[in-house]
Amino acid sequence: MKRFYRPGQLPGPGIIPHALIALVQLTAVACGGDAPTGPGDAARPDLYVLNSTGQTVAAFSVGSVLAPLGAPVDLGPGFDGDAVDVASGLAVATVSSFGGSLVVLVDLTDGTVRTATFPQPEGDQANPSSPSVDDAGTIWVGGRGSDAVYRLDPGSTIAERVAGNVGTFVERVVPVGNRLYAIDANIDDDGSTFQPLGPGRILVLSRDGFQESLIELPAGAFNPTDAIAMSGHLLVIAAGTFDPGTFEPLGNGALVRIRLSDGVVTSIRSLNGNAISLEAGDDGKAYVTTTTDFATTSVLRYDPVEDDLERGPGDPIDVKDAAGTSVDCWTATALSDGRVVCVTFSFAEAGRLVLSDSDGGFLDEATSGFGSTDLALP
Amino acid sequence: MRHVFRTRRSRRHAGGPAEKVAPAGSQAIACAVLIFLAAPEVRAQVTVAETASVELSIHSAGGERLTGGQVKVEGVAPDPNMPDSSWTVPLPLDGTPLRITLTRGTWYRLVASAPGHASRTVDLPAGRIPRALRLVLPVDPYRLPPIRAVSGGTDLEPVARSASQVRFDTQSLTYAYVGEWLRDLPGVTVRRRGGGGRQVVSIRGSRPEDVLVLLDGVPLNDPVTGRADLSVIPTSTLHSATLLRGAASTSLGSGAGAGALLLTSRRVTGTGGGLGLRLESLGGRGLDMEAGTVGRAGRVGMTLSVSEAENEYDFVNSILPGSPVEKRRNADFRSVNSTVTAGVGALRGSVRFDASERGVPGRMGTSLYDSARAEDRAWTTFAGLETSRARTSASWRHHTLMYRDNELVTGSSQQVDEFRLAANMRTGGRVPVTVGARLTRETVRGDGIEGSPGRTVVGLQIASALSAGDFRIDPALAMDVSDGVTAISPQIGLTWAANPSTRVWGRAGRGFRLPTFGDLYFASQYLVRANPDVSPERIVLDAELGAAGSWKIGGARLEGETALWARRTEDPIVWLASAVAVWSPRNLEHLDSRGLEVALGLAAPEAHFGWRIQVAGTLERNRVGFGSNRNALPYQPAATARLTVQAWRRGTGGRVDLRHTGARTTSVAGTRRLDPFTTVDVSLSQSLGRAGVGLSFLARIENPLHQRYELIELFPEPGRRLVLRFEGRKTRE
Repeated sequence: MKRFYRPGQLPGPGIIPHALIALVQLTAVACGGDAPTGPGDAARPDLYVLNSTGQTVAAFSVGSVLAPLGAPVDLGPGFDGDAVDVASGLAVATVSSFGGSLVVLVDLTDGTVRTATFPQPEGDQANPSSPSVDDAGTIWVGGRGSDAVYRLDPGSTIAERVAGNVGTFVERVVPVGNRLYAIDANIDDDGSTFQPLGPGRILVLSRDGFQESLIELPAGAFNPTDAIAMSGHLLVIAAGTFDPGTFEPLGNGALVRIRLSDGVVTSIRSLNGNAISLEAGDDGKAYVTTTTDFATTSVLRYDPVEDDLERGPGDPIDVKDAAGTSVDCWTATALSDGRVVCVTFSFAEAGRLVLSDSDGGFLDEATSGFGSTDLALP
Repeated sequence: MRHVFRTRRSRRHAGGPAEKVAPAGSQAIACAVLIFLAAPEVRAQVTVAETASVELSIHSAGGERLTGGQVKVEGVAPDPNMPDSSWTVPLPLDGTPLRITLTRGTWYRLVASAPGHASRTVDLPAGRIPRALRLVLPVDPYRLPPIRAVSGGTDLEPVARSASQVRFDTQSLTYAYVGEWLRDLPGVTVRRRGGGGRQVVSIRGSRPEDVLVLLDGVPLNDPVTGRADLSVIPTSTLHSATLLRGAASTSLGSGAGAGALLLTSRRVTGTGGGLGLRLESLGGRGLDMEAGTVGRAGRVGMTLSVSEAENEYDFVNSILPGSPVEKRRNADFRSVNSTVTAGVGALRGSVRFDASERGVPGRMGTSLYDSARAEDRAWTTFAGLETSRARTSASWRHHTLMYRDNELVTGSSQQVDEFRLAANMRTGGRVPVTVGARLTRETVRGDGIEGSPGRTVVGLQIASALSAGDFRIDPALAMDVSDGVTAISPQIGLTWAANPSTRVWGRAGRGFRLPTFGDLYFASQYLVRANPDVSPERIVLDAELGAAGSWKIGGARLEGETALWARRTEDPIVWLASAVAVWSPRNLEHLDSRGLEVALGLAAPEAHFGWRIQVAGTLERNRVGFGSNRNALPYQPAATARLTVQAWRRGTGGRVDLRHTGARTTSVAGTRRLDPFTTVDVSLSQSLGRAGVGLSFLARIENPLHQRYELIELFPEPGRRLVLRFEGRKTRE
């Protein structure tokens, strides 16, 4: 659901010279069209894909094959985000401060799109994290720029700040019962080095925003970027760090398991790579993608109940396409029967939505759209 | 009959070359020649007794003495039964007044014309021949003066290609910035990120980095991005601009893959000075000064231009709930530009300073860049020697670019030094050959660049022109070498001069563009990587087929030009994201562009009352990609069109422009398009001449219907805009 890249830091003027942004935006190239829209039918979507470059959310049914359902929903020209969450009939994404700090809500019943803003004074500088939608439809967002936690009721147009001074860089807010788990990357964003200030932290808040406790991640768990609640545990990926000189990944990502009942860290697993994304599969397993070179990726599978990294960095799931070529998945998850679905990111051509068996053997493939960065199981 | 041979005699006195004479008819000529030869005594007698000379000087509305035109002298016989006579006399190239000898008692009509200007007609009734006559021609933006931009080009090349030229010293009122001229040209698009933003140009469906922009021979293209910002150069500091459509690497080297824009600094044309004032909506203000002197020792002059604009305007923020109306901020702009030029004989030199400071606002909806600022400073020096057979120039530019994104981050800066040396020499003989050489040295250092990389490019060029009847072939070949990379750029052009006013041409050539320093040496940053292995992109074919002509239709003149073009670029350099969104440049397979340009004008350029209607448009298709993927280039409209209606009466003129820009994709993903838009501009101008001072005034309302549109998505353009420009000049050659 989330990766260690921060949308506000995607090659924007805040990071690289403005001229390069113009260069990239005016000359970056992709090919083909967006995901073709399939024949509209009454099938229930099994999967949603967020196309960051294409600025759409596309629905797919997953039977024995992948089939697009209807036309992708247009998120508008201002969309600039890379994560989506789906629950309670809503697909929710956020727009970084580069695009004005917005929450984008898609009503999945009719495809209407609404936006919500953040309260002043931070307003468009809130730089929201990936969103989380709880069972009641309430949306929870961290403010990476404002170091705050927000809630948004689906009918509202302005998010409500429920907590401030929450760490240094809130990457995710995970609602579990009456508690909120705010994932603090604990990095230097104010100085724009984005280097870790120490291991990541998790602030445990009440739904009203009062801090109840603080969970310190173990040494070596740097730069946590995402978390999910599964099987009574909170799973956190520490994306790892990069060389401050060459900006090459250092391969020190980790997967941390925290028992929700008492907040104790029960395990930490080295990923031998930098983590990109973490998804909860319908098969009860967690799926992590990693990279060691910023070019190729690996898909790992973790059993949170058994605390077992079933397909670890030494034995990743090698997702294949029809030609038998390995597919570099930006993010991956699994259906209830264990089949794996993953999407690829490409700016030069439409991304790929690949369906494979639990070991990565090819089953089917469809075009997912331009710049696919997330998928969500409803 | 006596009247006829008097007139012929007078024509000889005028000194026009025989081939320039426009006969009244073959029968009349034969008759006149016979009588002329048979009665020399009579001829001498009447010439002495009944002629008078008029000293004629032709000036532009801005006061400059025109040298490239002609005067058609029509003798209107007092007896309607007598045949008319007429002849044409070119204006002296050295700028001296034209002396025409006329016959007393004959009614004459003089039609003065000069490229770049509307013609003017003056009647001289019988018995009223003045000793001196000064004619001021209104500026005609649609007819181009016969000038050549210098530095690195070849005299032979522009024959077989589509090119446009303008002299800003006579048209700085109409075009205060280069972009204002470029948007009138077919095959050219100009875009920017909202009001006050940097301005880049695209030729024939190119990316801006495939257009080489030379100012006094030195590239304006930023070596880091490959793009030239045209917004920082006011035309009050420029002499001319020449736009070459199509690949021009054969004569200009790397970067001219899709075309080139050649700018020259203001030259001294006489002793005197000028003052210009610009007032525009959105806080736009500008002051232009010019002074020069010409003496026996040489000529020296200077220009100074100061400009600023606030560029705060309302826009609808379409991405926020309720689409509120907001005010665009931090788009202000300030610039200072100055030139000093001097010349002695064939030697010429200039030094210019260009500085600008501006806000760099983000797209609508974010305040993230409300304090982002950019500053550019550049010193450009130029020295050139031009003779009829040889030409050489040396240019150097030191450019400092600074950017500060907000208060929290230390600003970054880069320093760029560019040196360019070019020389051309043309041999005589029946087959002229131009041999040329060029050397370019670029270095860059500063934040964001690894080390202090530099690059030297050496190029050799040979070109010729072979004529056979109405046909001319222009073959050319160039070779450029840099760091182990060798680029061969052949070109051949074929021109058929069907008649003096109609030509058809075809051209095919190759070109190349070396990677920018940003491509090769950008310091690694978070999610950004340079690629030292990226290869030069190669224009393997750039071809065009064009035709241009001019025809008289009744009392009007029809002028037209069209060109069909195609270009294939292999290994185009494109910044792409990796599978995990790390950006770096790489070579894709192909970039294909093709299109059609058309410009058609109908005009009745009379002095007392004239009018002109012009239609210009471009259709183009660009696809870039690899394998089976082909996508349109973002922000390149598939169609653009312009309709201009212009009329004038003496020094008063009016002009209406209707401009249409077709739909454009906003990214290579092609999933989103900007709507087409059409705008109207209305302008009025007045030119006066009093006591040797030329006064001109322009008032223009741009987009009076307040159309709202975006050239770049989420960067709103201002709506209605008022432009007032005043210029006064007093120049004595």
